[in-house]
Amino acid sequence: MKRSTITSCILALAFTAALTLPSASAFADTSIVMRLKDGSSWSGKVGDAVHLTYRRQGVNVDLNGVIVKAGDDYIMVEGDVAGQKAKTTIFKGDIVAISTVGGNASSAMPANASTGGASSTASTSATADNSGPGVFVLPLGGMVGLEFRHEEIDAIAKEADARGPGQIIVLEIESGGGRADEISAIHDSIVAAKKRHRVVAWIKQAISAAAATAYNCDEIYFMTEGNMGAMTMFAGTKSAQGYQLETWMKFAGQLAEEGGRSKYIAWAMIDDKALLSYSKDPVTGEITWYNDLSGEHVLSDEKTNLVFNATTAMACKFADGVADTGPDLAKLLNIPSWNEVGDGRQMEENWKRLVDQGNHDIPMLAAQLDYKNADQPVDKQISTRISLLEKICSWWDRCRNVAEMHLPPKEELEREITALRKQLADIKKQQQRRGG
Amino acid sequence: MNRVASIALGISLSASITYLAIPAKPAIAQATGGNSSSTAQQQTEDILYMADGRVLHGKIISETRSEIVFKYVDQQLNLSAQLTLQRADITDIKRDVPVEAPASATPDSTNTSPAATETSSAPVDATPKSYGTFRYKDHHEGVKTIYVIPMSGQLGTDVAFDTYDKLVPDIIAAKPDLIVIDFTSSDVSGDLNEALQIEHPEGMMERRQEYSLLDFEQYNKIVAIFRNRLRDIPQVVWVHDSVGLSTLVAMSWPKIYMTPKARFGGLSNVLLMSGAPMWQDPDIRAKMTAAWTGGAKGFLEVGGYSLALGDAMIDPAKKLSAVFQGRKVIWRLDTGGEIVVDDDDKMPANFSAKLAEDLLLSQGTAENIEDLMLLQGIREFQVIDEPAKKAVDNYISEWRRAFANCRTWLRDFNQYMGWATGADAVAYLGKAKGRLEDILAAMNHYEAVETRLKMVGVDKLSIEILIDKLKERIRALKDRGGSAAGAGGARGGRAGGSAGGGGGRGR
Repeated sequence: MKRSTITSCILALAFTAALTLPSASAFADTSIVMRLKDGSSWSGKVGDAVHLTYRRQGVNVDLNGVIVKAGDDYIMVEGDVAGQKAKTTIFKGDIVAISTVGGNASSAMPANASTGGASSTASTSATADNSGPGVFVLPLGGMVGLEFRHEEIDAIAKEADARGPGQIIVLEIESGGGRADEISAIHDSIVAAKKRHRVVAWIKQAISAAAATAYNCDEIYFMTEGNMGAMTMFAGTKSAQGYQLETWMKFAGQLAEEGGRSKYIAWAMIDDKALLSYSKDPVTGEITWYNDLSGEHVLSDEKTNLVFNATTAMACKFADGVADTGPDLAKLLNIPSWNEVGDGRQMEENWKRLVDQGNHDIPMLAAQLDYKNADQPVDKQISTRISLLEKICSWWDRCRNVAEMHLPPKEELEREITALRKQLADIKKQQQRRGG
Repeated sequence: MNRVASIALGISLSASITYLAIPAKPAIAQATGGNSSSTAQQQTEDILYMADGRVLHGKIISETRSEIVFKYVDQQLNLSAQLTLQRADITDIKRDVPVEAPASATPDSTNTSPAATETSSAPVDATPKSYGTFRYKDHHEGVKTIYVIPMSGQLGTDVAFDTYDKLVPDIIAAKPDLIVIDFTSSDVSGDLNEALQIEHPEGMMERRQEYSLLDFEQYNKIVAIFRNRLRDIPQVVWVHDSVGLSTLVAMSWPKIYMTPKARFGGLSNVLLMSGAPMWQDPDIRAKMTAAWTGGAKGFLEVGGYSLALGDAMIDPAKKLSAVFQGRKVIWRLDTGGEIVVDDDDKMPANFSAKLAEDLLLSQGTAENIEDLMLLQGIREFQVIDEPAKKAVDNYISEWRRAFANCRTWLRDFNQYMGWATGADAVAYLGKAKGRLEDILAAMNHYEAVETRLKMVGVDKLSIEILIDKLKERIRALKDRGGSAAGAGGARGGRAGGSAGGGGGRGR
């Protein structure tokens, strides 16, 4: 299935979003909250008509328009700019005053607690042993589409290629989900890797988009504490419905069936109204799945979203085994020993470090736009602003996934830099004329 | 009838026979006064007449339709053991019969125990409640070594991965025969069901700051230290009190013991703290509930507990009852079992020590370490508890002191910012910056401090931005000659801007 078939809905930014302030770029209809320079707060949402005053190159500019987009550090407003309708990206730090046109004026907002979220690799107690075939382990933690991406899957497959076809790639999954638009990219990467290698999922936590990742694998193993499911897609505070839901269920069903599993299982993980039960043949142990409650064992009734734990996953043969250490997993994989090779762990660590740096540096740089060299002459202010914007813009190339979370499009930033450069050049020309 | 089957909760009959093979030490008689203190306090006893002809003296602890949990006391041998007996095997019960003191059970003040006489450097800890056990104060070769590790306070801050990770080398070096993980962690005091009602009046948020944190990742790592790295050493959990996320962690061990007054539950906090029930969209609510519940039940999987039990302990809407199949308890999410634990669809299942023991969730009730050892079948032992206690206590007091300092520093910061006007502006801005740097250092040093400050809206990045802003202002003021003409101080006082005004929200 092509990537375009998956909507840009967010599939559970969610599991952690309940704890953290969701990024506005991820939740298109999420409310926007911002603290203004006078200490007050304003709240609104994308689509609101607003009147605002913001600081641009040292002067206050008034603007009437409609908020069309919002990120953590900026809003994009469509309104009259120099007599023409245009979109203007405004960093929150630049906003001096803002009010909603037609009511819902500023209101004080409480501070949001944030517990953050991070991933870590599972303890494997792996011991390298070169006697067996290589096992390429790639930890996939954090948010799907941010820390957890298809690029690392491609990279580990490439590493495996260097040792020839038939290598074992273990995707060690510990994630509460993330962006739906990454799922199809991950699907493509795993499908491609599977053509050359044995790709298995090893689950510590695979919720939502992370569960969808695991479905791509022909073999799924759990850790004892492992859990997998809850694939409901939602954006903002609304679950996907209608066509969006149908498309997602169809895709997830295909994923399940490609991996040799019943589509009913995937459906029960998506829609709490989707029922799931199974019966087990007492002689052969063969499992028959039902999308109603007629089976001997009910896994999901009309109020339940399905999440497997190790016991339930094993009882119905959804999981291929339970292993807590590399050597334990090696036995299940039917290989003589746990011979971990490749740079998967380092790869994940490096990428995570960059994401952390981006999550730190981008808001810091954006904040500095508000005050760095604010007391200096205009040309120095503009130079500082250009320098900061260039650094900010560079994050689009350094770490696109983080930039998407925090920043306006790269083109917008580049346009602003160009405009500032022109203004600086004009000022210098004026200065030269005065001096001349 | 085979009595082995009727011996309950970790003490087998063969273990009792082993006791008989060990020469009774006079010291034991001395320590126990020929009896346990609890027995001494009991003026009466219960007597069970068994179908096989035995007469058992002791005290009925609890009873159900089919079973009686009985604290058997052999006054001659200074033994007590907890037995679960089938009613069908009992022909008669006499309750509250006055106790007759056995002639042989008088305290022996002339201790002639070989251990006591041969190792004067290892005096017996003459606790009055040794229940026939013998605890050495000093190291003694050949005696079972028990390594006690406290898990006390708020999980996620007081109970932190790093503390336990650092203890591993000491534990391994000590080569203990048993690790006892001593749990005391309760989000609420008083009646558990009342305290866990979601609708709390004012003060709830303040109290919740002391709730154990919803940090499965860290708890999985803590559990992994014991269940993986120390897997070769037998381990038990001993719960003094556990209400909240600590219960999940405790349930990662298959052997749980409790003190008589211990509470065990509070797992509805998983959903409460996740915010899952608050989602308006029913599909998202179902998803979040399933996801958090699934993660929580992962701990029960590690401990080998029923997932249905987990469902009922986590989800207030679920009911719970139990059915006995021999020595096995089958949990049901309805009220159709033999013993109904929770018939309220608004409260989760919680347990007292007694109920937990009745339903085999707890392996036994132990008031003190001697009780606990007896339940393990260990009569002679030595305890190593200082290293872990010291490490844990020091860490807790240090981070909490740093956290308290941070609150003071946040107030200082606000005050200095208010004073940063006129000729003193640079000086006070410098002091304000210094306070923020102190806070940042504390956050960098103690993750717990960072976590707790974040809960009140102060995060590291905001502090860093504020520091950077102050540096900029100080530089600007110095460039201008050192004083803030008018607006400086006021602007500084609200230095939050996009950075979030960390200082002001710190209280």
